Amino acid sequence: MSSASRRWAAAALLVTVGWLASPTPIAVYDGVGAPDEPYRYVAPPPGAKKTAPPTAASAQSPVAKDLNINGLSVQTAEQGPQASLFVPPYGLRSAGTTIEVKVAPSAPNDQPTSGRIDGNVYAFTVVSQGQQVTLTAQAAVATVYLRATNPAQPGPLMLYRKVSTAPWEPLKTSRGGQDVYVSTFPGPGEYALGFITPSKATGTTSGGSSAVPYAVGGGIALLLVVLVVIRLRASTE
Amino acid sequence: MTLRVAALLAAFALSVGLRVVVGGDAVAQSLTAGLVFAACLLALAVAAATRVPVTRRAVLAGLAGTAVVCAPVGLQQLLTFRPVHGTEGFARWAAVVVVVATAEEVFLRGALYDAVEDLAGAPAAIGVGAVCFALLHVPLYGWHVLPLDLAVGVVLGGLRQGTGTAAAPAVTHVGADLVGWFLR
Repeated sequence: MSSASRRWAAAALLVTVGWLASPTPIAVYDGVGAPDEPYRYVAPPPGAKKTAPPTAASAQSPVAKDLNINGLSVQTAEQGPQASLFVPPYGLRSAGTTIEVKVAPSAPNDQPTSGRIDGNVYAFTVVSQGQQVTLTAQAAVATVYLRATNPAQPGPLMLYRKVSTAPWEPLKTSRGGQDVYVSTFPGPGEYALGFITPSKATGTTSGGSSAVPYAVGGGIALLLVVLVVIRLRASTE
Repeated sequence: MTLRVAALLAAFALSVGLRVVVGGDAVAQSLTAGLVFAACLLALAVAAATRVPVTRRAVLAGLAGTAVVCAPVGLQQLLTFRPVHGTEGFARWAAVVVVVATAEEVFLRGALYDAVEDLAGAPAAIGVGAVCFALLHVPLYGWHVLPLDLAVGVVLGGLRQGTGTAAAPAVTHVGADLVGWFLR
């Protein structure tokens, strides 16, 4: 193998390792993020952009020795997906021959006691030919992703309830992208993003702060000073 | 020389900060913030008298680099039968992406690479460029970008070193971004 071939192989290996270490459906995190389509509501609020209806999705895995032998990856079809769930192999137990995971959107029929839901409610169900399905220890790494209606910060929390009559409970939530929030998967049930305090419900945008013009002006002034320094250095070298 | 590197790094950090402030909460998707950032980087590269010769070899290496960078996600797309993304909104987005990606390369693998290489050699120049490339995307996307962007940054630096010009990584960078639109 020539030196050039070895370098290209090393580059391919390096990118693959980096890509595997940053689970992502994109080639590289860069510059200007590809824009999401407007959020698709089941029940659009006044003033919302007219869109196609939000989508449902499902995925199946065969069962061997009572466990799903394939990982289950289900995501809705919007760009980007408004709801996704990833369950690892052997994360679900059932006496059936297949396990199916489904996600379907609905309009919120109630709100958290001290806040509001952002966007749709997503019902995640797991079925297996009428057999009971339970989560195994491997399901601890199963993750739910929901996209918020906008990227404003502070962002919403993931809310969960087993049945639609139960109160909403916040889950430990992390930000998985500009407007995507991630949580572990405690089990089938309803998931939604929500702001659980009124102050968080409004959200704040750092771009709208009154300090922004000063920060921009100061930054440009500093940049100009550095530009002059670099220019002077370049001309003397 | 050390002052030059320090000034370039400080200016780079300032440019990232400006981008974040201008873009606000939607910084990763803000075309305006992206263009402001690109203008800062290009101004810095001009101030540092950076030269970016475009050769046939660099362009071909850059295209091969695009294939390498896009291979994992492309294979995943094929294996999972995921449909490619449509072209609606592509032209406007692509125009900005080409400018931003080119500006990043002209600065990182041009001005900064030259300065660090003069100071500490090519491996250091590749490493510093890769770290800057990864860190600049953290405020936009979060810390999970580091492994992928560090790896891609090293490959882009390797292209710069192998071809002697920032044109090769610029072609790879622009190509990967444009292909990335469809593979998501």
